[in-house]
Parts: sequence; structure tokens; C-alpha cells
Amino acid sequence: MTAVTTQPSAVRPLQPWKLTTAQRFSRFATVIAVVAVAALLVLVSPLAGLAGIALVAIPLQVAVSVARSGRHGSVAARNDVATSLIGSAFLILMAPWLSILYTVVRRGYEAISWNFLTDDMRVTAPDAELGTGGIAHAIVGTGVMVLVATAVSVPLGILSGVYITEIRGRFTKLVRFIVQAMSGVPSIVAGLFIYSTLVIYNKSYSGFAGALALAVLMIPTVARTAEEVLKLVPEELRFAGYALGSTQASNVFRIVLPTVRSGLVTSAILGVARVAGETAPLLMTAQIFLATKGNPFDGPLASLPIVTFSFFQNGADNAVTRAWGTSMVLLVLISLLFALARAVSADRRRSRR
Amino acid sequence: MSSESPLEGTAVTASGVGSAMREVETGRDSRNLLPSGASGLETIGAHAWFGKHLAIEDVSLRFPKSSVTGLIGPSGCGKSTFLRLLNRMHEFIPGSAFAGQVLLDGRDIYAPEVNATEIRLKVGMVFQKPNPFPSMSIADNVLAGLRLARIKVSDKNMLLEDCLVRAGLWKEVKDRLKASAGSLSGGQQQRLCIARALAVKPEVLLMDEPCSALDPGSTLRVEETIVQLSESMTIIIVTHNMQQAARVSDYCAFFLSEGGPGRVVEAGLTSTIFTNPVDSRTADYVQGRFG
Amino acid sequence: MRLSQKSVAALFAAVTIAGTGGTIVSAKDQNLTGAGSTFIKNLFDACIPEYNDVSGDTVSYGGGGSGAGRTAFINGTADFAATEAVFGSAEKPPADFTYVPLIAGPVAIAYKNSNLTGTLQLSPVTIAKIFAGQINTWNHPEIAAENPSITLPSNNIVVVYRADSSGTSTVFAQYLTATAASVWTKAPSGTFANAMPAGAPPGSIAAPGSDGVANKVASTEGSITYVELSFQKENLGDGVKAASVKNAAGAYVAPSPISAAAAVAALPAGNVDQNTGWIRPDFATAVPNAYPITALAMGIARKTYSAKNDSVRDFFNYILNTCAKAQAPTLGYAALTGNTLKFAQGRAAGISQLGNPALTTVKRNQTLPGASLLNAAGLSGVPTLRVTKGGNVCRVVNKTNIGGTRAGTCDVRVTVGTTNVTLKVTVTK
Repeated sequence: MTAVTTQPSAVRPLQPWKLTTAQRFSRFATVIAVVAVAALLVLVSPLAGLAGIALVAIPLQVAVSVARSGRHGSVAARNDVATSLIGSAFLILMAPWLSILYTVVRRGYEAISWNFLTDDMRVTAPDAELGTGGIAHAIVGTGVMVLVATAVSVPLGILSGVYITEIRGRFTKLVRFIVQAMSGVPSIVAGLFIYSTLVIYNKSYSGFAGALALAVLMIPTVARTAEEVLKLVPEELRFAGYALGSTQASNVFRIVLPTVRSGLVTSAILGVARVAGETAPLLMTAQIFLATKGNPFDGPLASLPIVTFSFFQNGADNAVTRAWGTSMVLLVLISLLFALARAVSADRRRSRR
Repeated sequence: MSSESPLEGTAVTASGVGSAMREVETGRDSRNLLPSGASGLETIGAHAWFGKHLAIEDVSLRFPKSSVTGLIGPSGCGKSTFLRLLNRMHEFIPGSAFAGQVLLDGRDIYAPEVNATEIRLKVGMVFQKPNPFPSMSIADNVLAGLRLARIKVSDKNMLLEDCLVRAGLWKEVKDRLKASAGSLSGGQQQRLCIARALAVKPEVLLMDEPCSALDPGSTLRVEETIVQLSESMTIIIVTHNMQQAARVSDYCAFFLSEGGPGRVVEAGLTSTIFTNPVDSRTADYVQGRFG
Repeated sequence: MRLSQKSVAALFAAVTIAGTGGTIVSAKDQNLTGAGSTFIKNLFDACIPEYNDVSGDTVSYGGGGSGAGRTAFINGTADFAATEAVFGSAEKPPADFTYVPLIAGPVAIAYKNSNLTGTLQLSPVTIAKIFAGQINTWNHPEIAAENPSITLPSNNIVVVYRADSSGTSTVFAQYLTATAASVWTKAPSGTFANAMPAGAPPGSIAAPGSDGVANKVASTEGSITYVELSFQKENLGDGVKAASVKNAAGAYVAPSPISAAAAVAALPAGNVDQNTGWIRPDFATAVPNAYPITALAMGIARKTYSAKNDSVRDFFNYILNTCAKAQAPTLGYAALTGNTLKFAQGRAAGISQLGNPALTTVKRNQTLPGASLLNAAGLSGVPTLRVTKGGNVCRVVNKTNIGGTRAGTCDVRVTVGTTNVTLKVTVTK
């Protein structure tokens, strides 16, 4: 047998399974044309707005797909139609999200300045000039409360996940049931619960109370994600640990948990993202405080959602712009958290290789 | 139940005596008994259940020290189950049950006062599928057993090298000990698992089809490792590969279930089992006529 | 901008300290939490930063509505509250609470009708009939009778009202009940739809929030609503005007901070509760230049001494004497004036007095006025004083004061009528 060798320079890497640039351009152009026709139809017909365009464009695109691919047989046509429908569904899903993002940025960008991130509203009225004051109190307050909530809920959440997946004790079903029931607790109820216990007892709102209310909401998210992540740990790893003379405790803490470390980090971040924008529970527990303060035990504490709410209530133009600016900061922070969660879990997949 | 084996001390040449006693106790014939070395591991009338299902029945075997014993037999005959009885991994399966005795150096490992983790430290195990800890480096994997069982060692680097050399992996990984264990090939991972098992210095090493997922080259190297290791420890290996059993083992035990629970049909020197078995079923199996 | 704001505030503070009794005692770095009325929130939003700046305290006001504020005050989670509604019979406020009238605000009858020039004049009964749906065109004879000098267009009236529960709706409904009982037969309610005698009139529109109704009127030709004055003013550019309303003196008065202040400057004695400090707005005011649809927001605070309550007193004083006057016109409120202001100042002065050590401490060889002891004891009237313990430390001077003779403490019994309270008086060197 002789090996056939080809000169490296003579062979170019190809991806024949992908559309050529020309094909891709023609598809793109078709979509543009379809949307344009739909827009034109909407202009001359009683249909109105984006919904009207979508209503016309989607069937039109499907028809174009059939016409285009029909000559390659029904399988190709079906495939093309499915592509069109999925593409439309994607755009329809993106529309509200993009519209929220656009609205928040458009109405809030004016409020954003260095001062806005570093100063607080202790001596600035909500309707004062936009260059003055800021939301540092809310950023710090949300940060502190989320940190405390994380410190409370992540160990509890992970431990309950460990109990369900590792210990599998007599109360496994009960714990899982309670976790599931907790995830259905409306946030206002969590706030009311902390209000009627801690706040009334202390006769004071506090950042700590707010953090506990957030923790109540965070625990089920963390616990359920942690449970799912722990379930991914192969049994062989546990057996490998036991076969080395490991106790259950060191098996859990030295093998199982480190194996899914990034997954657990993701679960914590998802929990944080779940509660960082919560308003209702904080209204009754942390209230609002106008100065920048980091101590969660010393009276009320500001948070981004509550400060947003307070700005909106004022109603003056500058106050409303500040409210949008605050929402924008909150949105950016939560997006960063989600990006971080994605990055961490992507990192995990890489390290698995 | 006395924790001292009545046979201790006389065991070196006690095959006949032992078999006589066993026959009195269990009514089984002497083919269930392997010739004994110096103490080592021994099962007496071992039964195992999964729920109501009796998986193995009345297995009495003796594994001499510094020998390799192959457990052979068709799939589902209870070899792996039996293996897991020997270091108390059987009990992790929900609903499992056990009857009989497993004596390690004359002590019943199922006695109430015995700690299972301590037994597993003395009776190591290598699994069918390589299972290194993905969150740890190669070096940490080898030393994982020490950390898990909280054993203090004066020179970790020496132990690390020693274990990897003995597992036949040192040359391949010595320059990347800090790399993730997941970066190794399947065969390397399996030898890493062997090195990991060696680090806690077990007296007995159980191997459950350690080469079934490996290519011929890796298999060869693992086999070499087994032969080397047998100089210092008792090795019990489950294998479906007759050539492998013939190559590496000193003794063989042939398991068969025949629809009911798994039993030992015949046990003895590997050469005898393969060339001159007493039972015709053994002959049929080792010659590949069924199974 | 911020600098000038600060300096303006400081100037006001200086004037206050020099002029009236409402002084900021000292920078105490107290953190105060308030909750309650959203009606007063915009005033607080403007005044709190100023007060924080000049006092060193940090006041935070969470809003949440009058009811929520009263609850928070009862539970002790709020150091002060603001409300437009009195404590209900089921609510159990602490015994030492006091109301302090803080601010008044006119509720404008805002309308938009491009073909209507001049200012519309309306009587309570006409307003009631419009909002009850009984008058539904702009050139209805009853409207025409009140507006002989302007030409009325014939289009339909679109009633716009608050969809959410609101203090403004309560006050407006109370006004209609008080002044047009024959038409407005339903009891007042925070949810306006529940207060309308025949339900919402056909073609009427409900909108949430003050800005919601104001914007709806601005975009709806021929519409009319009730809304705080500031929101009408914000939409003046869109042709939203405010009607003049006939008061009990027979005068048509336009809503303004001044006319609203006049409505609450001199209230009939029957509207003032000397015991708690509560004041009812006088919808039937006979003051000629008073705008009758005027709401009052009350602060709630405690009379018992604490460092926080000292700050609450300072804060209320700052609102009454400084901030309200400066901010009310731009925000559409009416600062309290006249007797009502005096009454409010008196109530504010009573905050943090019970057991206040400053009121029971005297220097050697000086006298402590009996009035201070009365305040510290929470009594009013002419006191009889008696030193019951430590006769060598202090003595009664002129029957009405206490003189300190040497450093130490003594017990003084303050008696008014049959009530007596024993106070510990400290004499310092």
C-alpha cells in the first residue's frame, strides 16, 4: 500500500456544507425584500405597526421559501420553510427584548455620568440638574444585600442539593418538595414574611432584612440548579472516592463539589440575577436610604429597584430620566452577571475536554 | 464470631485441612478453594442479593498474598458483584444484601465494629471505566486518596513518582503533572487510576475489567503493570479476555450462573483451569465454546 | 447649580434660626425613616436633601401611601409618617403620637377644550353633576348659567378619573360629598370609581396616577379631570386649563398656592382636634379668596424624647418654616400660613418633649421654667410644683419655677388638676 500525499499548498480547506457568500447574500436580500413588501402592504392596508408587518412578512417569507426550494423537492422546501419559521420566531422573540433595551437606553442615557455612579441623593433632590447627585447609595445597597443574600442562600442551597443528590436521606422527597414549593413563593410574600418577623421584631427596616427576603427567593433557584449540577457528577467518581477509603463527607466536599465547582458558581450567579431586580420584597424590608451606606444592620438601605421606583413616583422630568438611568445601570449589572455565568459554564465545558 | 481465623498460621500448606473444614461447614466441594498463600483475603459462604434477587450464592474462595487471581465467566454471572463484596462497595447499591464472611488477614470485614472506609483503604479498586477526578491535576489525582483518607506522608513527590512508575505512567506524564487528568488518553487515565489506588498502599487491589475500554497497546502496558504489582500485593482481576487471564493470573476462578444465582464452578491454578479443568463447563468456557 | 441650592438652603436655615422658634438644634447624624402619603412625597423629595444638607441628619422617605405610613409608624419601623387620613378605629397608634399639619395642596379641576376661551367657572353642584355624568355637554345650560361671558362649544364632556386608589380621589370625593350632597350620594373612597354615584359615566376614561390623568386630558379634546395643581401646570402648554371653583363665600377662585393657603390659614375651631392635632380641610370655607378643594397632609411623630425624635422635630420645623415656603409655589402646594401654621408649629414643638433631659436640667443658681417641666411631663395647664426628694439640691421659686441650689438630682412632682407626674431634675455646676 502506498500512501498518497498531496502538496499542502494545492489543497485549500473547504466547507462545502455551508452556504456560499452569494447564496447567503441572496437569502438576506430576499428577507429584506419580503419585509419591504410587507411594510408597503401595511402602509396601504388597514393593518398597522410592527405586528402588521410581521403578520404579512412571515407568510410571505414562507411562500418565498417554498417557491425557492420547491424545485429541489419537497424535503428541501420543508427544510427552507422550517428555517424561515424558526428565523421569524427568533426575531419575534428578540423584538420585545430589543425594544426594552432600546427604550431603557434611549430614555436613561442622559442620566448617566461619572457623578451618577459615584454620588448619592442625600443632598440632591430627584428633580435637580442631571449632573448632580447619583445612585451610588443604590448600587452599594443592592451590592451589600445581594452579597449577604448570597452568603446566606448559596451554602443552604448547595447543602440542600447535596442532601437530595448525595445523602439521599429519609427527607429527600420532603426537601425537594419544599424547595419546589419555595420557588413558587411570590416575592411579595417573601417580603411580607421577613417584614412580619424580623422587621416588626427589630422595629426597623434594615438591609439585612432585605437580604434575607432576597435569600428566601434565592434559595430555591440555587438549590434546584445545584441539584441539577450535582446530578451530572458520574457515579463512578463517587465510587472512585469510596474505593480510596474516603468517608462520605470528604467524598462530597473534596470530590463531588470541586468537580462541579463552576456549575455551582453558575447556580449562585443565576440566583443573584434572579433577585437583584426584585422590588416588592425590598419595599417592606429594606425601604430606602438616601446616603451611601454599607452596613446592612444599621437601618434602611437603598437598592436599585426601589430607587428607580422612587424616582418614577416623583414624576418630574429629571427624576424620570434618573429612574431610566437607574434601570439602565440595573440592566447592565444583571447582563454582566449573566455573561459571567455563561463564561464560567463555558470555562467548565472547556476544562472537561 | 472470632476475628482470628482458625487457619491463620497454618494456612501456607493448609489447603487440604481448609478444604476439609470448609466441606464440614458448607458442604461444598474443595474446588471452590484456591491454594492458600500467607493469610491474604478469603471469603466463606458469600451470598449477595439485589433486593429479592439472589445474585451470587455460597462463594468460598481464598486469595493468597502476592498473587494474581482472575475471575472469569460469562456476563451476568456475578463476578463484579463478588468483587465489590470484597471491599464493601456492594452496599452502595440500594436494596443490596449480603450473607457470609469476608476475611481480610483473618478479620471479618463485615463485622459490626469494622469501619468500611478503613477496609476500602486496604482493599483498593480499579474500575472498568477510567474515572480520574476531572477537577484535579494528574499529581492531585494520584495523591487524592491520601487527602480523602487524611493520611500524612513525609515525601509526597517520592510517593507520586513511585506510584506513577509502578503504574507505568511516569515517563508519559512526568513533565505535565499539573495538567488536568482529563487531558490524558483512556489508557493513560486507567493507569492513572491504578497509580491513584496504589498511593494509599493497599494490601489487595481489585480490578473490574480494567482493560475493557482500552486499546491493545494500553492493555499490554496495564497487564505489565499488574504482573509487576503482584510482587507486592494481592490482585484480583475480573476479565472477559481469556488470553488476558492466562497471561496475568496465577489462579483462576470460573463463575457461572446458569439462570440462577452465580456460583463458582471451579477454581485453581490458571494452568490447570486452562489446560486440564475438572468440570466440563469450565473446559467449554475457556475454549470459547460458550459465553 | 448644586452649590447655589445648598447656599439657598443654608440661607433659609440661617433665617429660620434667627427668626422663628423652629431651629435646627445641632448636627446629630441621625438616620430617619419616613413612610406614608404619596401626595406629600414631591415636597419631601425636594425638602429632604436640603434638610440633610443643613442638619447632618439623613432623612429617607419611602412613600407607600397614607395607610402604609400609618402602619409603619404603629409598628415602629418608621420614625415619622405622613397621611391624609386619620388613624382608623382598628389602628392602635402609640399613646404619645401627635399629628402635625405639614402642607396643603389645591386639587385643580383641569380640562381641555380648544374652542373654549377664557376661564371656566364652576360651582360644586355643577362639578358634581359633570363627574356623576348628569351634565355631559360643554354648553349645558347649568354651565352656561355660570359662565355668561364666554361662548361654550357644544361637544361632549369626557370625564377622566384616577384608576388607582389615591388620596387625591379621597379628598375630591370628600369635597363633593360635603358641598353637593344632593348630587354626590355615595361615600368617599380612595378608588374613585367606587365613589361615583351612578358608576363611571358613559365615555369616561380611567387613568393611573396623577401624571396619567393629566396626560390623558392633554391628549383628549373636551375632557375634564381632578388633579394636583402641579400636574395641571405641567400640561398648560397642551391647553390643559384649570377651572375656577365657587366657594361658600360665593366667589369663583382659581386654584393656586395662595388661594389654597387661604383656605387652610384660618380653619373653624370645629375642624381642629386640639387633642391629637388633626385638622380637617374646610371645603365650605367662607374666606373670599380661598380655593375650596384643598387637601391637607399631616405628619405623624412621637412626643416622647429620643435623639431621633429630636431630629423629626427639626425636620418638621424645617418643612413648616423654611422649605414649604420656598418649594410650595413651584411644586403646586400651598405652604401653611396664619393660625394653621401657628397651630402646626405648636404641634411640632411638642415632638420629643416627654422626658427630654434638656427640659429637666438646670444650672446651679439658675431657674428652670415650669413650662419646660410641663412639656417634659406631657401636661398642659397651670402646674403646682413640689420638690419631693433632694430638697437641698433644688427648690420651688415663685411657685412656678424650679431653682437649682447645688449640683445633684432631685425629684419634682408636677401637678395639674388631679394628674401628677414626678420628674427627675438634674442640677449642674
